[in-house]
Amino acid sequence: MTRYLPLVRAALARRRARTVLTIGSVLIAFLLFALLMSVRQAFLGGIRAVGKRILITANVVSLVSPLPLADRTIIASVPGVRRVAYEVWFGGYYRRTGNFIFALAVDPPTFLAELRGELGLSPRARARWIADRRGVLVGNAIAQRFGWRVGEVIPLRSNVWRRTNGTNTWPVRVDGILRPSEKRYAQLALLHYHYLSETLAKNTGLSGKVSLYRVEIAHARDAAAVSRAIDARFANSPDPTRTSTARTFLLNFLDQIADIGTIVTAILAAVFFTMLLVTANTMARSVRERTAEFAVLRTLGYGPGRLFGLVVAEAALLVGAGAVLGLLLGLGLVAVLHGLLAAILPGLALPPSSFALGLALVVLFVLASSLVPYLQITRLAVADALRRE
Amino acid sequence: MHVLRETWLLLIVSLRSLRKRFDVALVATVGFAGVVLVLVAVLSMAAGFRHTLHATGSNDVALVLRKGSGAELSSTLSLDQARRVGDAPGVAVGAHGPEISPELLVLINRRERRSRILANVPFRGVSASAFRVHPHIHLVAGHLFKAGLDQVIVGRAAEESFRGLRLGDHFTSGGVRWRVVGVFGDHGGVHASEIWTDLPTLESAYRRGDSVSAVYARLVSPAAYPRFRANLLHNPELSVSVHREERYYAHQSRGLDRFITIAGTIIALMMGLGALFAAANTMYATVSERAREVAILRTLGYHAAAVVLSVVAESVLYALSGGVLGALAAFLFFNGFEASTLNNFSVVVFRFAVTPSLAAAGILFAGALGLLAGLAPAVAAARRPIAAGIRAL
Repeated sequence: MTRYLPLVRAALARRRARTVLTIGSVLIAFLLFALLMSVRQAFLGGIRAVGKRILITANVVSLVSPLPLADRTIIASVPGVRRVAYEVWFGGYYRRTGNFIFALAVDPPTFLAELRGELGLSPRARARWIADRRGVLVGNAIAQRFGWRVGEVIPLRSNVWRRTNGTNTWPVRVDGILRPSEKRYAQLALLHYHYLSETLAKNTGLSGKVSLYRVEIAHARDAAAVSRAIDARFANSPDPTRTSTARTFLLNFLDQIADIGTIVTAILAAVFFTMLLVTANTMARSVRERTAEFAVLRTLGYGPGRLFGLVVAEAALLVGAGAVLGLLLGLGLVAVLHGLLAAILPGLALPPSSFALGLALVVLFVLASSLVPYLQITRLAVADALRRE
Repeated sequence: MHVLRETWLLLIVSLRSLRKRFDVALVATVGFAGVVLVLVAVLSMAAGFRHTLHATGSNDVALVLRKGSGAELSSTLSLDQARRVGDAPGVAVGAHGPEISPELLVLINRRERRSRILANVPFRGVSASAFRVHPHIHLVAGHLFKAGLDQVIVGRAAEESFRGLRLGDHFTSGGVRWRVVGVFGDHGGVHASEIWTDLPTLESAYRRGDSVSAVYARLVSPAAYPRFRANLLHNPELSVSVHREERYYAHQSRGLDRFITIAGTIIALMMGLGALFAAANTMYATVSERAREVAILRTLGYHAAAVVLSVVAESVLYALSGGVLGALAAFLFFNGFEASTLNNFSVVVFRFAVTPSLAAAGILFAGALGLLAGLAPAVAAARRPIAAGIRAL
């Protein structure tokens, strides 16, 4: 194999500008590939990690309509249900409405029990918060954004709720910082449900209500049956429910914002189609220019298979070099963007699976761009080609 | 002048031999077309969303929300507070009294027709005054709902996009079986994604007492706004925030608009660099193939500048034709393409808008790329020693 290396090198060095430019356009394609896969990951990445044994029970009307807190005991009695947590959408912001904070008021013990290790919370902070009714846990992303420290008291405001004293400000003490592996939780702030419900102005409509239930079930395989059973219990109540897995619930919400998957795929299809044209054309031209050379090699005893091998090696070098450089550059760029966009697009990272997909694309492109040269070689009439020189 | 004529001749000669280099020329053109297609398509999405929100508000209508709520959905006002808005100075007064429209906004789940996604469709309760405050709302089919009969009218976009919302359809929500009795248009605004019914029916179906989300008030003129606003903000019995309707909706498009525009521009710039490489490849192939004739023309006295210009002009020509193709494809495939997103938790249906200015921007961008792509090969061609050129091939 190494015997052919000089031949391949000579072929690529034949037109240096062309080689560099072709590698350049492959590089760009794979750089875009790395970027877009990272964006896709930021939007959809954590979803597979969402607990398979967590169901979300929400009001059938929509996710902004509340459910009675009394439903909790009914849900807990459904066979297959292990634990029921609940949360209230706080609609939090800090100082200005633009400083949105994804804040939830929850029942601390059950909420923490369901998310277990996912939140990255120290046992001490956990105990401190559970005991501190006016305490709050904040994700490290927002703690960093606003410079909050443990022990500090924050005036957290709500764009949904009002207090008995007429304001919409709840002073809360930071009891702990969440350092989650899953970036989604780095934006979270958690308050005590009872602190909120006891200080709430009377006519707000929340008394005895929650936004949704997080239901932990014993076995993931029972998700569909348990969901149906829960919804059946409330079918004839004033507030019928819709229960789905946490994954379905989250996916549906993201799908409403945008079909990121389709958009990314469509753009990448356009990029790679163009790139395929470029490399395939380069290979075809390179082979056509060297028709005489190939004829000489044929007379020296190289079969069509070996000649085709040469072409494939050449294409593999072009595409491979471009792909490796593009992915490496992409990794660097994503790392930089990750720092810059932490507040807008957390979780921007190139998923490991994209390297496998990238490799598959390289193989596909090498083969596809060698197709025309293959036909040129097999149809090579040696005598003709030599005479042409 | 001489140089220009020589450039023209060189370009014509080059284009006449295009058939020999058809493949590379095609690659360059398609490369540019791809860039422009993606750029224009992505930006047309941002433009469509922006147009929808900008088409919604008028500048002589004010929107009153509860203080501290940035949006209708999280705002609650009592009907009593709502009525006080009508007493503020600057409110237009018609035959039916002050032109104010107290409205309640609820979200309900409806399945999207195509994707089967459950969408948060806005369901708005209004009174008769709403149609005077929002004169751009007009019935296009059926008739207006009658109070207390569980009848609704649906926006044109909502009718198209969601199941069970066609004229004559029934759907159940909040324990009520609603009947669609009319379809309305909003001249491209967001209300076309909504369902409307009469206020008391909506309040009782969703147990909202006699609360509303917001009050819209038609002012005597846009200039009356500051006085109207100051009066409400200083009223000790009210705790509200006041917005110009036009700015309220326009403001909501900013975040997404900026995000799409920045992301689209970055993608287009990078794709553009790739297309630039492909085109430079093409032009290198062209100049190397024409090395001999260029050398002969140079010996005949053709100016080096003419060679440079003709190569750059050819590259720009590929770029512009690719740009036109890409913009055309974007128009054919994406103009009017219907999409939806969430805005303040509520679904907004909008259409991609491939505007002439977007298409022109795309084509110009391609032209600039073509210019850059042609430079290096052009200089290489002009610099080549004449003797070497004549000996070539």
